[in-house]
Amino acid sequence: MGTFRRLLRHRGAVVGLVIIGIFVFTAIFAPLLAPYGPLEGQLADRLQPPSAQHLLGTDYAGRDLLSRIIYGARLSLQVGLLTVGLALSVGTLWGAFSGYAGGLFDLLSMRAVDVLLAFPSLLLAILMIAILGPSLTNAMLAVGIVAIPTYVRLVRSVVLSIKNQEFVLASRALGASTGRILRRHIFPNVMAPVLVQATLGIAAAILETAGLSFLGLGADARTPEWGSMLAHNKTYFRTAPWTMTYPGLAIMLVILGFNLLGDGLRDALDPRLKR
Amino acid sequence: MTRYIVQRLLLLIPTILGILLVTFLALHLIPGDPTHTLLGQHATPAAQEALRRQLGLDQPLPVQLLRYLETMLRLDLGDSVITHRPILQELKERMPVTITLTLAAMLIASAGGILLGILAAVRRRTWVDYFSMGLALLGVSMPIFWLGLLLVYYFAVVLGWFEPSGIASVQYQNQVPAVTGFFLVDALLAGNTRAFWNGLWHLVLPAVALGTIPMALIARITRSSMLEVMGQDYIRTARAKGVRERVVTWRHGLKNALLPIVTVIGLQFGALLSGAVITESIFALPGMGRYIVNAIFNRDYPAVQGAVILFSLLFVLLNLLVDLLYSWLDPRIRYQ
Repeated sequence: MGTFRRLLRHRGAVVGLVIIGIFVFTAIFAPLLAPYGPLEGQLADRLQPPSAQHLLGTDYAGRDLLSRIIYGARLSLQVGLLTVGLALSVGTLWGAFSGYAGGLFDLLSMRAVDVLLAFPSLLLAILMIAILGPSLTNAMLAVGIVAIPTYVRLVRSVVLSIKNQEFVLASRALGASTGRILRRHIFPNVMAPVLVQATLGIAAAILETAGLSFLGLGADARTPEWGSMLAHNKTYFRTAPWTMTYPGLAIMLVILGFNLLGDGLRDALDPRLKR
Repeated sequence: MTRYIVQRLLLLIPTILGILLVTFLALHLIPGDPTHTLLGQHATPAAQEALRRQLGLDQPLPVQLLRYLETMLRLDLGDSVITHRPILQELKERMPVTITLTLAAMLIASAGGILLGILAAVRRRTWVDYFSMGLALLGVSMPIFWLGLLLVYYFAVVLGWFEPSGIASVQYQNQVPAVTGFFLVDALLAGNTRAFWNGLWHLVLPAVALGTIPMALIARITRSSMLEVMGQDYIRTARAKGVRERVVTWRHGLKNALLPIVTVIGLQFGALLSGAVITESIFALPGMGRYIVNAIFNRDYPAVQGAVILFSLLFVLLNLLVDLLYSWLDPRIRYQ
């Protein structure tokens, strides 16, 4: 049975896919779905509870919360894809090369990875932001770079486990070049665990970037980023709890979706693991 | 065991050197003039030059590195650009808050997670299982900053059961003299039980907020590890010779299922220390996390650097403790 069909039989994965589908749809069609612009609003309308005009109420600057959450989906999708794209491409190449080449390069790069993993991840990101300056782009960059070592380790361990297997040795005996072996034999085997890690990684990246924005180290107050929305509305949440309920709920649902899909993918790609 | 501990302690040296190297290189490898970012756009050239001299940026790189390592080995993290006090001193005052928070969160996470996981495994495929695993899934997906705000709103503002912020009420903070710096310990040392309970009361919400995500992960791993162990022959043997089910679960089952659980607990410390930064900011706790965030806003780079180093050292030490616990649980590890 194909991986995809196994995935569709996994109840959690299907729920995850549906959530992610809605999330991606919202992100793409944000301008059509949102009743107002993300920056539109007057102070006279500030902190209004949910009503027919403003389905989820308004924030401290009188902006429509629903519209900001809808536009926030765009940013979160970008954050997830760009950070994981960065970490995955650098990490996979580095890990594959390190595992395949071995020798001094492997030794040195693994020590470097060990050191990077000796930092609590958010702290390493904070160190980078301290130098680059707080902004959403820098927060994304930091979160992406901090995630690289995870992929290096993962890919390297898979490469080590298959590079001396008979089908790879046979291919080399037949005169295949290193590039061909990497492309034809190593990468297809690396794909599965990397795909699982990347799915869970998107969740982690969105969460970490939102966390940095919440601390004031990422997106600014105007940007409709979910973490930043929570940070700037939190002063008013005692009187206007909706301003923190809905952005938080949006983050949680998206994270839940990617976690469910990641778990489902893992089960579908390796049926032996399923208990 | 002693030999193993010494071996592990020696292995810390290269890691610590690596941490120092990364914090040093971070300032130099990132493109652009760091004094520009640190001082802002309106800095005068004279101020930039002064900062460059203070950070030692006017020296050649190897000289800077040696100087840096030398001061670090003297446990000198430099002075804060803002307060002009030694950074190590400032961090020392804040560290107990972060450690108390992290350990309390870990305690809640381990106890709660193991209990939930065992319940789910023992009552497999019943509502108890589905409920606890559903809870665990929600917990894993919960943004800590949102959970923190919700806890404050419902349990401090609406219900008024717990305190929304701070490590203790002001009157108690003034009553307790700082001996160890750990408020709860100092309160007990002073024999002030009311201050102790007050401090503990303040700790509940932040610790629950910080502990929830690791608790969910621990619950999941406990369940799967228990399910595997409970299918083993020795469990059947224990049951067959008439051992009570409770003893089978806790003594035969949990004891053997503990290794992967301890691994996951160890892996959570990084997430906990990262989460502590956010938790301290929500609950206005005067710990290292808030210190580092304020330092970034104040463009106090030496303070950020010092705090990151201490955070990482704490992380490395906690990992070492977990590894030692691990080898104590499974003596085979020591001989590898």
